[in-house]
Amino acid sequence: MTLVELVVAVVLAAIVLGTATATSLRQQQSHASLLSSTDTDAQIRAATLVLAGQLELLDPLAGDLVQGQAEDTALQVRAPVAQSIACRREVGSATLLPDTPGAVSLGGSTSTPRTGDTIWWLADSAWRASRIAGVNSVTVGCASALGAGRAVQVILTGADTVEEASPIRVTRQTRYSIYLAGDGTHQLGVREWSDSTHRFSAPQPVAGPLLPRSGARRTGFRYFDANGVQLSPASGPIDVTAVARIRILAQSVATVRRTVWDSVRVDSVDVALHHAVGH
Amino acid sequence: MSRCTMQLDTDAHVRHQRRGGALLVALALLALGAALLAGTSAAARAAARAESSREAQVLAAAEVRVALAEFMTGWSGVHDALPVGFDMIDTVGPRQRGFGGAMVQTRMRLLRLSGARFVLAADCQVGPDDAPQARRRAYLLLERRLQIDSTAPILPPVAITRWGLADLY
Repeated sequence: MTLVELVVAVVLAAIVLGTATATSLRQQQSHASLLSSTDTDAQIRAATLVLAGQLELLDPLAGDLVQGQAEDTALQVRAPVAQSIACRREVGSATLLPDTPGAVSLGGSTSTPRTGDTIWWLADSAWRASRIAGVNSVTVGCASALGAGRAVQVILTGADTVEEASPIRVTRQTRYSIYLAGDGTHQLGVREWSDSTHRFSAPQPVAGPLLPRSGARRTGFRYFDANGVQLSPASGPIDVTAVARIRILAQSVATVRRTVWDSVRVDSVDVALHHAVGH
Repeated sequence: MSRCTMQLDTDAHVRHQRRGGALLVALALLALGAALLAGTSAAARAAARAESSREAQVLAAAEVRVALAEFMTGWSGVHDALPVGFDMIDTVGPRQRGFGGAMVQTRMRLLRLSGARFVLAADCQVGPDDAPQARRRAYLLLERRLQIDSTAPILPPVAITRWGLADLY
Protein backbone atom coordinates (compact mmCIF):
# COMPACT_ATOMS: atom_id res chain seq x y z
CA MET A 1 0.00 0.00 0.00
CA THR A 2 1.42 3.39 -0.97
CA LEU A 3 1.24 6.47 1.18
CA VAL A 4 -1.33 8.05 -1.16
CA GLU A 5 -3.63 5.06 -0.88
CA LEU A 6 -3.26 5.10 2.88
CA VAL A 7 -4.03 8.81 3.08
CA VAL A 8 -7.13 8.34 0.88
CA ALA A 9 -8.26 5.47 3.07
CA VAL A 10 -7.72 7.49 6.21
CA VAL A 11 -9.59 10.51 4.79
CA LEU A 12 -12.50 8.30 3.74
CA ALA A 13 -12.55 6.66 7.15
CA ALA A 14 -12.50 10.09 8.79
CA ILE A 15 -15.48 11.21 6.67
CA VAL A 16 -17.44 8.06 7.52
CA LEU A 17 -16.62 8.30 11.21
CA GLY A 18 -17.39 12.03 11.24
CA THR A 19 -20.79 11.38 9.72
CA ALA A 20 -21.42 8.55 12.18
CA THR A 21 -20.41 10.79 15.09
CA ALA A 22 -22.72 13.57 13.93
CA THR A 23 -25.58 11.10 13.50
CA SER A 24 -24.92 9.61 16.89
CA LEU A 25 -24.85 13.03 18.55
CA ARG A 26 -28.11 14.03 16.85
CA GLN A 27 -29.65 10.73 17.93
CA GLN A 28 -28.56 11.31 21.52
CA GLN A 29 -29.92 14.86 21.45
CA SER A 30 -33.31 13.72 20.18
CA HIS A 31 -33.30 10.89 22.70
CA ALA A 32 -32.59 13.38 25.49
CA SER A 33 -35.42 15.61 24.22
CA LEU A 34 -37.78 12.67 24.05
CA LEU A 35 -36.76 11.55 27.52
CA SER A 36 -37.30 15.05 28.89
CA SER A 37 -40.76 15.22 27.30
CA THR A 38 -41.81 11.77 28.51
CA ASP A 39 -40.46 12.48 32.01
CA THR A 40 -42.43 15.72 32.13
CA ASP A 41 -45.53 13.95 30.84
CA ALA A 42 -45.01 11.20 33.41
CA GLN A 43 -44.86 13.76 36.24
CA ILE A 44 -48.00 15.49 35.02
CA ARG A 45 -49.77 12.15 34.57
CA ALA A 46 -48.70 11.08 38.05
CA ALA A 47 -50.12 14.29 39.48
CA THR A 48 -53.44 13.95 37.69
CA LEU A 49 -53.92 10.18 37.91
CA VAL A 50 -52.92 9.74 41.56
CA LEU A 51 -55.38 12.42 42.55
CA ALA A 52 -58.09 11.16 40.20
CA GLY A 53 -57.79 7.66 41.66
CA GLN A 54 -58.22 9.07 45.16
CA LEU A 55 -60.98 11.52 44.36
CA GLU A 56 -63.22 9.18 42.37
CA LEU A 57 -64.03 7.23 45.55
CA LEU A 58 -65.12 10.28 47.54
CA ASP A 59 -68.62 11.27 48.51
CA PRO A 60 -68.88 14.94 49.54
CA LEU A 61 -72.27 14.32 51.19
CA ALA A 62 -70.65 11.72 53.44
CA GLY A 63 -68.06 14.25 54.60
CA ASP A 64 -65.16 13.03 52.46
CA LEU A 65 -64.32 16.65 51.57
CA VAL A 66 -63.61 19.02 54.44
CA GLN A 67 -65.49 22.33 54.64
CA GLY A 68 -63.17 25.29 54.12
CA GLN A 69 -60.35 23.09 52.85
CA ALA A 70 -61.16 23.07 49.14
CA GLU A 71 -58.88 25.72 47.69
CA ASP A 72 -57.21 26.59 44.38
CA THR A 73 -53.93 24.93 45.27
CA ALA A 74 -54.89 22.64 48.14
CA LEU A 75 -57.54 20.08 48.90
CA GLN A 76 -58.15 18.08 52.05
CA VAL A 77 -59.92 14.74 51.65
CA ARG A 78 -60.61 11.53 53.49
CA ALA A 79 -58.32 9.38 51.35
CA PRO A 80 -58.45 5.58 51.25
CA VAL A 81 -55.24 4.00 52.57
CA ALA A 82 -56.30 0.34 52.78
CA GLN A 83 -59.05 -2.01 51.72
CA SER A 84 -59.59 -5.59 52.69
CA ILE A 85 -62.11 -8.16 53.92
CA ALA A 86 -62.91 -8.84 57.56
CA CYS A 87 -61.12 -12.03 58.49
CA ARG A 88 -63.68 -13.06 61.16
CA ARG A 89 -66.66 -11.81 63.16
CA GLU A 90 -65.51 -9.47 65.91
CA VAL A 91 -67.01 -7.01 68.38
CA GLY A 92 -65.11 -3.77 69.01
CA SER A 93 -62.34 -4.67 66.57
CA ALA A 94 -61.75 -5.84 63.02
CA THR A 95 -58.98 -7.95 61.56
CA LEU A 96 -57.92 -7.43 57.98
CA LEU A 97 -57.01 -10.40 55.81
CA PRO A 98 -53.48 -11.73 56.24
CA ASP A 99 -51.24 -11.47 53.19
CA THR A 100 -50.77 -15.04 51.96
CA PRO A 101 -47.54 -15.41 49.95
CA GLY A 102 -48.13 -16.60 46.40
CA ALA A 103 -51.90 -16.08 46.53
CA VAL A 104 -53.79 -13.34 44.72
CA SER A 105 -54.37 -10.78 47.45
CA LEU A 106 -57.96 -9.72 48.14
CA GLY A 107 -56.97 -6.34 49.50
CA GLY A 108 -54.24 -3.77 49.41
CA SER A 109 -52.89 -0.74 51.17
CA THR A 110 -50.76 2.30 50.58
CA SER A 111 -50.04 2.64 54.27
CA THR A 112 -50.61 0.59 57.41
CA PRO A 113 -53.73 1.74 59.30
CA ARG A 114 -52.98 3.76 62.41
CA THR A 115 -54.72 5.37 65.36
CA GLY A 116 -56.91 8.25 64.27
CA ASP A 117 -57.78 6.73 60.88
CA THR A 118 -61.37 5.80 60.12
CA ILE A 119 -62.45 2.24 59.36
CA TRP A 120 -65.50 1.63 57.18
CA TRP A 121 -67.23 -1.70 56.79
CA LEU A 122 -70.12 -2.64 54.57
CA ALA A 123 -72.91 -3.88 56.79
CA ASP A 124 -76.05 -5.21 55.05
CA SER A 125 -76.46 -2.38 52.60
CA ALA A 126 -74.72 0.66 54.06
CA TRP A 127 -71.19 1.63 54.99
CA ARG A 128 -70.68 2.07 58.73
CA ALA A 129 -67.70 3.86 60.23
CA SER A 130 -65.67 4.04 63.39
CA ARG A 131 -62.55 5.88 64.44
CA ILE A 132 -59.57 3.59 64.95
CA ALA A 133 -58.42 3.66 68.58
CA GLY A 134 -55.48 1.31 68.18
CA VAL A 135 -53.72 -1.10 65.86
CA ASN A 136 -52.25 -4.54 66.64
CA SER A 137 -50.39 -7.15 64.67
CA VAL A 138 -51.93 -10.57 65.36
CA THR A 139 -51.68 -14.14 64.10
CA VAL A 140 -55.06 -15.32 62.90
CA GLY A 141 -56.75 -18.18 61.13
CA CYS A 142 -59.62 -16.87 59.05
CA ALA A 143 -62.50 -18.74 57.45
CA SER A 144 -61.48 -21.38 54.88
CA ALA A 145 -60.72 -19.36 51.75
CA LEU A 146 -59.56 -16.24 53.56
CA GLY A 147 -56.20 -17.63 54.70
CA ALA A 148 -54.16 -17.50 57.88
CA GLY A 149 -51.05 -15.74 59.13
CA ARG A 150 -49.95 -12.35 60.47
CA ALA A 151 -52.58 -9.69 60.03
CA VAL A 152 -53.46 -6.15 61.09
CA GLN A 153 -56.16 -5.85 63.74
CA VAL A 154 -57.72 -2.45 64.36
CA ILE A 155 -59.47 -1.54 67.59
CA LEU A 156 -62.69 0.46 67.20
CA THR A 157 -63.74 3.23 69.57
CA GLY A 158 -67.15 1.61 70.08
CA ALA A 159 -68.52 -1.90 70.54
CA ASP A 160 -69.65 -2.28 66.94
CA THR A 161 -69.86 -5.72 65.39
CA VAL A 162 -67.98 -6.36 62.17
CA GLU A 163 -69.24 -9.52 60.52
CA GLU A 164 -66.94 -12.06 58.89
CA ALA A 165 -66.21 -11.33 55.21
CA SER A 166 -67.42 -7.73 55.44
CA PRO A 167 -65.70 -5.46 52.90
CA ILE A 168 -63.49 -2.98 54.76
CA ARG A 169 -61.83 0.27 53.81
CA VAL A 170 -59.63 2.52 55.91
CA THR A 171 -59.41 6.25 55.28
CA ARG A 172 -57.14 9.03 56.55
CA GLN A 173 -57.38 12.81 56.49
CA THR A 174 -54.99 13.75 53.71
CA ARG A 175 -54.11 17.13 52.31
CA TYR A 176 -52.87 17.52 48.75
CA SER A 177 -51.26 20.82 47.84
CA ILE A 178 -48.97 22.52 45.39
CA TYR A 179 -46.07 23.70 47.53
CA LEU A 180 -42.70 25.35 47.08
CA ALA A 181 -40.00 22.80 47.88
CA GLY A 182 -36.61 23.55 49.41
CA ASP A 183 -34.93 23.37 46.00
CA GLY A 184 -37.12 26.18 44.69
CA THR A 185 -39.38 23.96 42.55
CA HIS A 186 -43.14 23.60 42.89
CA GLN A 187 -44.29 20.09 43.73
CA LEU A 188 -47.55 18.30 44.29
CA GLY A 189 -47.26 17.15 47.87
CA VAL A 190 -49.26 15.04 50.25
CA ARG A 191 -49.59 15.62 53.98
CA GLU A 192 -51.20 13.05 56.24
CA TRP A 193 -52.91 13.67 59.54
CA SER A 194 -51.13 12.27 62.56
CA ASP A 195 -53.23 11.67 65.65
CA SER A 196 -50.15 11.53 67.85
CA THR A 197 -48.92 15.00 66.95
CA HIS A 198 -52.40 16.45 66.19
CA ARG A 199 -51.12 18.03 63.02
CA PHE A 200 -50.44 17.25 59.39
CA SER A 201 -47.03 15.86 58.53
CA ALA A 202 -44.54 17.81 56.41
CA PRO A 203 -45.43 17.58 52.71
CA GLN A 204 -44.06 14.60 50.85
CA PRO A 205 -43.60 15.09 47.10
CA VAL A 206 -45.93 13.08 44.86
CA ALA A 207 -45.10 14.61 41.49
CA GLY A 208 -43.07 17.48 40.15
CA PRO A 209 -41.54 19.85 39.35
CA LEU A 210 -44.72 21.58 38.22
CA LEU A 211 -45.23 25.00 36.71
CA PRO A 212 -47.52 26.94 39.09
CA ARG A 213 -48.75 29.41 36.47
CA SER A 214 -48.56 29.82 32.72
CA GLY A 215 -50.46 32.85 31.44
CA ALA A 216 -54.01 32.57 32.75
CA ARG A 217 -53.65 28.86 33.49
CA ARG A 218 -52.86 27.81 37.03
CA THR A 219 -51.84 24.39 38.30
CA GLY A 220 -54.31 23.24 40.93
CA PHE A 221 -57.94 22.41 41.55
CA ARG A 222 -61.21 23.70 40.09
CA TYR A 223 -64.59 22.84 41.57
CA PHE A 224 -67.92 22.57 39.76
CA ASP A 225 -71.46 21.97 40.97
CA ALA A 226 -73.98 19.55 39.43
CA ASN A 227 -74.97 22.18 36.82
CA GLY A 228 -71.38 22.60 35.67
CA VAL A 229 -71.00 26.05 37.26
CA GLN A 230 -67.54 26.71 38.61
CA LEU A 231 -67.38 27.33 42.35
CA SER A 232 -64.76 29.92 43.17
CA PRO A 233 -62.89 30.04 46.49
CA ALA A 234 -62.21 33.73 45.78
CA SER A 235 -65.77 34.59 46.80
CA GLY A 236 -65.59 32.78 50.14
CA PRO A 237 -65.11 29.17 51.21
CA ILE A 238 -66.64 26.63 48.87
CA ASP A 239 -69.61 24.61 50.12
CA VAL A 240 -68.06 21.19 49.57
CA THR A 241 -71.42 19.42 49.67
CA ALA A 242 -72.26 21.23 46.40
CA VAL A 243 -69.13 19.96 44.65
CA ALA A 244 -70.04 17.46 41.95
CA ARG A 245 -66.90 17.55 39.85
CA ILE A 246 -63.28 18.43 40.48
CA ARG A 247 -60.82 19.37 37.75
CA ILE A 248 -57.15 18.74 38.38
CA LEU A 249 -54.88 20.77 36.12
CA ALA A 250 -51.14 20.16 36.04
CA GLN A 251 -48.52 21.82 33.88
CA SER A 252 -44.80 21.55 33.65
CA VAL A 253 -41.97 22.50 31.34
CA ALA A 254 -39.93 20.11 29.27
CA THR A 255 -36.32 21.22 28.85
CA VAL A 256 -35.29 20.13 25.39
CA ARG A 257 -31.90 21.81 25.72
CA ARG A 258 -30.29 22.61 29.00
CA THR A 259 -30.35 26.36 28.60
CA VAL A 260 -33.78 26.77 27.02
CA TRP A 261 -37.21 26.43 28.62
CA ASP A 262 -38.71 24.89 25.59
CA SER A 263 -42.30 23.82 25.94
CA VAL A 264 -45.07 23.90 28.49
CA ARG A 265 -46.89 20.58 28.83
CA VAL A 266 -50.43 20.71 30.21
CA ASP A 267 -52.88 18.00 31.18
CA SER A 268 -56.09 17.97 33.16
CA VAL A 269 -58.58 15.42 34.33
CA ASP A 270 -62.15 15.89 35.54
CA VAL A 271 -63.39 13.59 38.27
CA ALA A 272 -67.13 13.20 38.80
CA LEU A 273 -67.66 12.58 42.48
CA HIS A 274 -69.63 9.75 43.98
CA HIS A 275 -73.02 11.37 44.59
CA ALA A 276 -72.79 13.12 41.25
CA VAL A 277 -72.88 9.84 39.31
CA GLY A 278 -76.00 8.63 41.02
CA HIS A 279 -74.84 5.79 43.29
CA MET B 1 28.41 7.19 -4.62
CA SER B 2 28.53 7.73 -1.00
CA ARG B 3 26.27 10.86 -1.40
CA CYS B 4 23.71 8.88 -3.39
CA THR B 5 23.61 6.15 -0.80
CA MET B 6 23.09 8.72 1.90
CA GLN B 7 20.17 10.26 -0.03
CA LEU B 8 18.50 6.88 -0.42
CA ASP B 9 18.92 6.18 3.25
CA THR B 10 17.28 9.51 4.14
CA ASP B 11 14.25 8.81 1.81
CA ALA B 12 13.81 5.40 3.32
CA HIS B 13 13.92 6.89 6.80
CA VAL B 14 11.30 9.58 5.94
CA ARG B 15 9.03 6.96 4.25
CA HIS B 16 9.34 4.80 7.29
CA GLN B 17 8.39 7.77 9.50
CA ARG B 18 5.40 8.61 7.24
CA ARG B 19 4.19 5.00 7.25
CA GLY B 20 4.40 5.02 11.04
CA GLY B 21 2.40 8.28 11.25
CA ALA B 22 -0.36 7.10 8.92
CA LEU B 23 -0.62 3.86 10.79
CA LEU B 24 -0.95 5.77 14.04
CA VAL B 25 -3.73 7.94 12.57
CA ALA B 26 -5.46 4.88 11.16
CA LEU B 27 -5.25 3.14 14.53
CA ALA B 28 -6.56 6.24 16.31
CA LEU B 29 -9.49 6.45 13.90
CA LEU B 30 -10.22 2.78 14.38
CA ALA B 31 -10.13 3.23 18.15
CA LEU B 32 -12.43 6.25 17.84
CA GLY B 33 -14.78 4.22 15.66
CA ALA B 34 -14.80 1.39 18.16
CA ALA B 35 -15.48 3.79 21.05
CA LEU B 36 -18.24 5.42 19.04
CA LEU B 37 -19.86 2.09 18.29
CA ALA B 38 -19.56 0.98 21.91
CA GLY B 39 -21.03 4.26 23.16
CA THR B 40 -23.92 4.16 20.70
CA SER B 41 -24.57 0.55 21.52
CA ALA B 42 -24.60 1.24 25.27
CA ALA B 43 -26.90 4.25 24.81
CA ALA B 44 -29.24 2.23 22.59
CA ARG B 45 -29.32 -0.59 25.14
CA ALA B 46 -30.12 1.84 27.97
CA ALA B 47 -32.83 3.52 25.89
CA ALA B 48 -34.34 0.14 24.97
CA ARG B 49 -34.32 -0.94 28.61
CA ALA B 50 -35.98 2.29 29.73
CA GLU B 51 -38.62 2.04 27.02
CA SER B 52 -39.21 -1.61 27.82
CA SER B 53 -39.70 -0.79 31.50
CA ARG B 54 -42.03 2.10 30.68
CA GLU B 55 -44.02 -0.06 28.28
CA ALA B 56 -44.28 -2.80 30.92
CA GLN B 57 -45.84 -0.37 33.40
CA VAL B 58 -48.37 0.82 30.85
CA LEU B 59 -49.13 -2.75 29.79
CA ALA B 60 -49.68 -3.90 33.38
CA ALA B 61 -52.06 -1.01 34.09
CA ALA B 62 -54.01 -1.66 30.90
CA GLU B 63 -54.02 -5.45 31.05
CA VAL B 64 -55.32 -5.65 34.60
CA ARG B 65 -58.38 -3.66 33.52
CA VAL B 66 -58.77 -5.72 30.35
CA ALA B 67 -58.63 -8.93 32.38
CA LEU B 68 -61.27 -7.65 34.80
CA ALA B 69 -63.49 -6.60 31.91
CA GLU B 70 -63.04 -9.96 30.15
CA PHE B 71 -63.84 -11.81 33.35
CA MET B 72 -67.01 -9.81 33.89
CA THR B 73 -68.05 -10.23 30.26
CA GLY B 74 -67.63 -13.99 30.59
CA TRP B 75 -69.63 -14.17 33.81
CA SER B 76 -71.68 -17.37 33.82
CA GLY B 77 -73.66 -19.74 35.95
CA VAL B 78 -70.39 -21.35 37.09
CA HIS B 79 -69.53 -18.18 38.98
CA ASP B 80 -73.02 -17.90 40.39
CA ALA B 81 -72.82 -21.49 41.62
CA LEU B 82 -69.77 -20.71 43.79
CA PRO B 83 -70.68 -21.48 47.43
CA VAL B 84 -70.42 -18.69 50.02
CA GLY B 85 -66.92 -18.55 51.54
CA PHE B 86 -65.28 -20.35 48.62
CA ASP B 87 -63.02 -18.91 45.98
CA MET B 88 -62.14 -19.63 42.38
CA ILE B 89 -58.76 -19.05 40.72
CA ASP B 90 -58.39 -18.31 37.03
CA THR B 91 -55.45 -17.28 34.87
CA VAL B 92 -55.57 -15.07 31.80
CA GLY B 93 -52.55 -15.69 29.57
CA PRO B 94 -49.62 -15.73 29.38
CA ARG B 95 -50.07 -13.79 26.18
CA GLN B 96 -47.89 -11.45 24.17
CA ARG B 97 -48.71 -7.78 24.35
CA GLY B 98 -47.17 -4.47 23.29
CA PHE B 99 -44.62 -3.56 20.64
CA GLY B 100 -41.92 -5.61 22.32
CA GLY B 101 -44.14 -8.70 22.58
CA ALA B 102 -43.82 -8.84 26.38
CA MET B 103 -45.41 -11.85 28.08
CA VAL B 104 -48.32 -10.78 30.26
CA GLN B 105 -50.14 -13.00 32.70
CA THR B 106 -53.03 -12.05 34.96
CA ARG B 107 -54.17 -14.21 37.85
CA MET B 108 -57.79 -13.74 38.89
CA ARG B 109 -59.42 -14.70 42.15
CA LEU B 110 -63.16 -14.60 42.77
CA LEU B 111 -64.40 -15.03 46.32
CA ARG B 112 -68.06 -15.24 47.25
CA LEU B 113 -68.67 -13.23 50.41
CA SER B 114 -72.44 -13.73 50.67
CA GLY B 115 -75.41 -14.66 48.54
CA ALA B 116 -75.27 -11.38 46.63
CA ARG B 117 -71.72 -10.18 47.17
CA PHE B 118 -68.41 -11.18 45.55
CA VAL B 119 -64.90 -9.80 45.59
CA LEU B 120 -62.82 -10.09 42.44
CA ALA B 121 -59.06 -9.55 42.56
CA ALA B 122 -56.65 -9.40 39.65
CA ASP B 123 -52.86 -9.56 39.79
CA CYS B 124 -51.17 -8.75 36.49
CA GLN B 125 -47.50 -9.43 35.87
CA VAL B 126 -45.46 -8.39 32.85
CA GLY B 127 -42.36 -10.48 32.22
CA PRO B 128 -41.26 -13.88 33.52
CA ASP B 129 -41.68 -15.01 37.14
CA ASP B 130 -37.96 -14.78 37.91
CA ALA B 131 -37.61 -11.23 36.53
CA PRO B 132 -40.96 -9.43 36.44
CA GLN B 133 -40.84 -6.02 34.76
CA ALA B 134 -44.07 -4.60 36.16
CA ARG B 135 -46.93 -5.66 38.35
CA ARG B 136 -50.36 -4.24 38.96
CA ARG B 137 -53.21 -5.29 41.22
CA ALA B 138 -56.84 -4.30 41.13
CA TYR B 139 -59.91 -5.22 43.12
CA LEU B 140 -63.61 -5.06 42.53
CA LEU B 141 -66.34 -5.50 45.08
CA LEU B 142 -69.36 -6.85 43.25
CA GLU B 143 -72.96 -6.96 44.31
CA ARG B 144 -75.90 -8.61 42.59
CA ARG B 145 -78.90 -6.35 42.48
CA LEU B 146 -82.29 -7.85 43.29
CA GLN B 147 -83.77 -9.29 40.09
CA ILE B 148 -87.56 -9.43 40.18
CA ASP B 149 -88.23 -10.78 36.69
CA SER B 150 -87.23 -14.46 36.80
CA THR B 151 -87.53 -14.79 33.01
CA ALA B 152 -84.94 -12.07 32.36
CA PRO B 153 -81.39 -13.18 31.54
CA ILE B 154 -79.06 -13.33 34.53
CA LEU B 155 -76.76 -10.34 34.48
CA PRO B 156 -73.36 -10.21 36.14
CA PRO B 157 -73.15 -8.37 39.47
CA VAL B 158 -72.10 -4.73 39.42
CA ALA B 159 -69.18 -3.02 41.12
CA ILE B 160 -69.72 -1.09 44.34
CA THR B 161 -67.95 2.16 43.62
CA ARG B 162 -66.76 3.21 47.08
CA TRP B 163 -64.59 0.10 47.29
CA GLY B 164 -63.97 -0.03 43.59
CA LEU B 165 -60.91 -0.13 41.41
CA ALA B 166 -58.25 1.73 43.36
CA ASP B 167 -54.49 2.19 43.21
CA LEU B 168 -53.70 0.25 46.34
CA TYR B 169 -50.96 -2.35 46.40
